[in-house]
This record gives sequence, C-alpha cells and structure tokens, in this order.
Amino acid sequence: MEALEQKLKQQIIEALNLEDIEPEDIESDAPLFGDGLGLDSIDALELIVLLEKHYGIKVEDPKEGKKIFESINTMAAYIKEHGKA
Amino acid sequence: MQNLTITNWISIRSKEITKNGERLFQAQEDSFGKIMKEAYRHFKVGYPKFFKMDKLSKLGFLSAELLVRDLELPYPAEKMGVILQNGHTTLDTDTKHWESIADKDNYFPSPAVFVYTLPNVMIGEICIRQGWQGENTCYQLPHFDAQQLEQTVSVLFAEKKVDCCLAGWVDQNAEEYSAYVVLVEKNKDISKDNSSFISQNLEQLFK
Repeated sequence: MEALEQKLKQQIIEALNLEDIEPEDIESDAPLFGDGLGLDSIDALELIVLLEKHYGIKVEDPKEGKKIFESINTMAAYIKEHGKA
Repeated sequence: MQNLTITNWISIRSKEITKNGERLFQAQEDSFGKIMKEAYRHFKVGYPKFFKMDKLSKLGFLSAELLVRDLELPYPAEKMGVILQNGHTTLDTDTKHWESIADKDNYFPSPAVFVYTLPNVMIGEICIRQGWQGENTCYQLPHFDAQQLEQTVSVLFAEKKVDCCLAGWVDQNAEEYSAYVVLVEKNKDISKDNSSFISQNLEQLFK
C-alpha cells in the first residue's frame, strides 16, 4: 500500500505540475483540496483522468469523486479495490 | 485630443527581460520553459498556479507581473483594461491537446491542457492575478501592429471604458517567443521616462 501511495504522490505532482512540491511534502491523510494542496476543479478533472489512464478506473459519479479524492490514502484504497494495475 | 502616455514598458525576448530600457534579467537556461521557470524564481513571484499555465500564459503573466510590480495604480479594478496582440494564438497548446486525442486507443485529453486552448485565457490569468476586471481582448494578427494597438486602446480611453490599460504583443510558439507590453495611463507628464502613446513610439520602443 505504501508503494502505491508513493507512486500516486509522484503521479499527482507530475499530472498537476506541482512544482516545488516533493512526494514527502504530501501527507497521505491530508486533504488534497481546500487547505491541503490547494487543488482546484480542473485538478479534480485531471485526477479523474489520472485514475483512468494509469489504473483503468472510470469515475462516473462526481459525488463518488469527492470521497475518492479526499486524500492520498482514500485514493490508494479506491485503486486497491477497483484498479486493474 | 486625449493625453495618453506610456508610463512603463517591458519586453521579454532572446532570453532577456528589459523594463523601461533597463535590463532586469538575463536567462542562463536555453529552452523557453526553463527560461520562464528561471525568471519566476529569480523574481520570487510566489504564485504556484504559474506552473500550471501553458507557455503563452506564462509569458503574458510574467510580462504583466513584472511590468506593474511595485507600481501604485489608483484605478478601479473595472477600469483596468488589457489589450494584447498575438501571432500564433495558442497553437502550441492546441497541438498538445490534439496529440492527446489523436489516438483513439490512447485517448486521454487533459482538462488542464484544454483550458488553455484560447489566447484570452492568458488575459484571464493576468486579470485574476492583478484583480483587474476591465475591458480586455486578444487580437490575432500576423505581426505586431502598433497602429491597431494605438487605435483600439485610444477608443477604450475615449469611451471611458478604461482609466489604465496594459497593451502590447505576447506571442509564443514552440521555442519562439516575444512579448512587448506597455502600460498606458491618461494625463501623465511626458518626461524622459514617459512617452506619448502613439504608434511611432511603440515601434521605437520595441524595434
């Protein structure tokens, strides 16, 4: 699980162009939106693309996305449960 | 007869940033992307969203940021205008987006790329950062047209749509880039640092 979290952090940094942020700067249980990384609605769409592109997961329901993208931990758990990779 | 004055001007080209005739920055890096990043760090801009912008927006954003930095502009936000010209619109970003959707078996359009497929988005980034809400437009032209710029901006002042206007040329495609931007204000003294906002002076500044 920890390896997946690390990989996710790196993928998020690359996909969202989070310059000046290292994987270790992202706490696995910290919120990704709002006070956390300060991500916006476009970033949310990028995260949906990231899940589909790298893990073959389609997020159809936006309400579901809110829970999935709460933190690195929740993303990793969702991938574990639904992912193909 | 309006008394419009170029009170500040900036150019970004050939790895150099020049403001009001003084060279502010000489990049060590060679690629456009790295030059923008180097300049951002050099001037300690502190606006992480910069990294999410496309190349054209980065160029326009930095031009405006460095042009108005440390200036006191006592104008209402809704009277701050931005009129830019551009040769390649967002061709670079359009191509990037097209590449992401060209292969039906590997079809992953990026929302973050797609949102930059209009040159007006560059103006949006400038206005969001500066808090400006006035008239704005980006014209696509084959080359920098000082007369068109003078006429367009002058009309905005004459119709009292703006009290101050950022105006110029911001163009980028692959590794080619150039930005020539001026700040136009009304009823300012003409001095050695200020010049009348007329096309001949624009051409002289950016020749």
